[in-house]
Amino acid sequence: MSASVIARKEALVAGRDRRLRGIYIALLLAVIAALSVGVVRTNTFEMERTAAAQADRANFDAQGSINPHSAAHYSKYAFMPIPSLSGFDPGVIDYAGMAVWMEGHIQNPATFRRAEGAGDLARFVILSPAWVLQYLIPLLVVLLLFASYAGERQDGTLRQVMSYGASPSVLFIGKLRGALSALLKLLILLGGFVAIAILAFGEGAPQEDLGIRLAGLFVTYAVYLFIYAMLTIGLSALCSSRRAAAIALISVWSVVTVLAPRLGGDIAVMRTPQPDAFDTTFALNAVRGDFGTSDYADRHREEFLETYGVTDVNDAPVDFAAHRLQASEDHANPLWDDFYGGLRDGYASQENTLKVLSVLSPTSAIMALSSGLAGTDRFHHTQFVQEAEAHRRVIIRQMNEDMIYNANGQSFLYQSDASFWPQIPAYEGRLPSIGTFVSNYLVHAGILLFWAVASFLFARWAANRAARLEAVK
Amino acid sequence: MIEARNLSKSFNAHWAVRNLSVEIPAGEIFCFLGANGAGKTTLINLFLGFLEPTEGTALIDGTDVSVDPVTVRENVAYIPEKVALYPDLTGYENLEFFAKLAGRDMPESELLNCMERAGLPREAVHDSTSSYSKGMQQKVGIACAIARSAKVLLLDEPLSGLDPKAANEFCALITEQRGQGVATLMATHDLFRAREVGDRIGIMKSGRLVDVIRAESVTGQQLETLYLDHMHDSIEEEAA
Repeated sequence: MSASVIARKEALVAGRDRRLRGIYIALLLAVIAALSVGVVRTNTFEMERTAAAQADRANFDAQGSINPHSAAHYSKYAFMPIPSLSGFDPGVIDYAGMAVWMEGHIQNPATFRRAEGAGDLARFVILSPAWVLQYLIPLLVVLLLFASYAGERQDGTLRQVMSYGASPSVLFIGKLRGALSALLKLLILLGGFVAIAILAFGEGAPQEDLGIRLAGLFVTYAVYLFIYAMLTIGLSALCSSRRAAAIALISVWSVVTVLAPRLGGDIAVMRTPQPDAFDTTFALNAVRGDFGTSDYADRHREEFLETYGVTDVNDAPVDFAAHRLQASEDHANPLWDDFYGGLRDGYASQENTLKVLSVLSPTSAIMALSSGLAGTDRFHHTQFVQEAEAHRRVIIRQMNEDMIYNANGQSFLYQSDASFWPQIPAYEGRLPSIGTFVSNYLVHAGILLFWAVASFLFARWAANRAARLEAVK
Repeated sequence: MIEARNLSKSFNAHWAVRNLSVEIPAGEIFCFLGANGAGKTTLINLFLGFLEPTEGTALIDGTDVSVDPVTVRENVAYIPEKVALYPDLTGYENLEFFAKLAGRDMPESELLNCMERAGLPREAVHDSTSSYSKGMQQKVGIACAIARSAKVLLLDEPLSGLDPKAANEFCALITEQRGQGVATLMATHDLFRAREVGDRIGIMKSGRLVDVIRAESVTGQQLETLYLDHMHDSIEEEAA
């Protein structure tokens, strides 16, 4: 009873604060603006992707009669599907290549990064609802709750309330309920906006588990804001004046929300440097090597002769040059797997460093979880790259086999019929289900829960301490 | 109603309250006089259950405060030197909040009646308490005490800083509460008001209750002389 009375009073007092109302409305408008920008961006990206995929397909199908190996070097792209939730959290979308050129001989890296064409203004943070929720809403929580205990200590109302029979724990529960009620209302409102915008206006690639992802985002951000509410209440209880609490909390917000995640990223990159574009291209060429002079090519020739029981490759019933092309693919594929596996290991090492460092800041953990749930993180991008590579191997084999079985010794002079190209399947990128990646997010989820429990215990301890100190003033 | 039995409280070997025994029955106002640091506020904190006694017992309505402080506080109204109110709420809303906190969910008419009995002007009850004078804030404190039907009033320097008119009104209010059977413990520096409203006056010195006088048995001048004698002794003791 007493706790609910205190909770209602907290809501009433917060509602009376005109400045707070102004900030609240401004942040809501910021989220709506960010959401509008995000949805429009996503819809534009997806529209461009669809148009580019259609144009690419049309060009490929309209090649007419040409040699399949020429076609293997012709434009054939896999375009990454853009999830509707990228309108909420763009994650790595702007910094990761959105298309893979599926070429013979080589596994090309993903290209067409949005950031490359974004111009100088890209140095400003892209306004997204996730960014507002990760950085600005915690500030709103601070402004909403910084006086929670400090104001009562300064005004003497804490002692007054306790003289009316409210125990420190009832007082804490009342304040907790008041804070959570206000935050839940805010989150439901924001969640409603996001859900409506994504479900009604989002025209991204279909995401079968969109409902689960939206629910996951709601729960994750609820826990995140709970952490900030607890930190704010706890620090407020440690301060005996509003001014001291405001200064302490703004400092903590700056360090925990702004500096720590940035520092974590810098440390991760310093610890595991990424190869630059030049090094990557150089390394790719080195991996590719010269198949013609490799031992593998000699072994292939011997195996070919043995398989077909001939002593001259021209006596074989299949085209040797085409067979050799596929052999070079089979030779190179594990090498690409190793090369890109190494790159992925580097990224994974960076991710692991970030995971560990997110113990220092719940913002780091929420950034990873949010982009993961939105389907815009590195794991989803890697999935796309791997699917595109798998698809490349299928279509290159299909084209090589057409030449192997139909060239009849004409090799590179052989031309496939125009009707052959539509038989080459298009890359139908599908967004993976969240279940595929759950294990990647367990550590982040655990760290977020650790912060939730630790911040709650801290707030309860600080609140009880404040009540004890005020009682004997 | 309010009883201290050999009550003592020490902080780091310093006795703030020492072996104090007193009993204040229902319908009596007991004023504690004493210099700053005499132990008056510590005594009130002991009765509120904010402090644990080092020795002895503090009882409210027969219940040991240190055993069940939350229940005890349900019968107690505490008015400090400056009644702390929420400045963003109106006087009425403050009263409603504190009444509900005390478990009294009262209709608006009853709450307004409490404010009227406390002497708050009707036109001010829906104003923010940030605009209230200290006297008006003290009246909200009294209205809270009336609303919760407190059996015990613990007043810690409630007249400090009040203008004579406001102090007079406040004294009239606690006198009215005495008529309702409320036991009142008032810590004050104001000898004049203590003699005016108190039934008994206790003089505290270095945590001890050194004298108890019936208010009606002394004039203001006699009370002042008596008080200053005790304080003079205190200064000599400290000097020695």
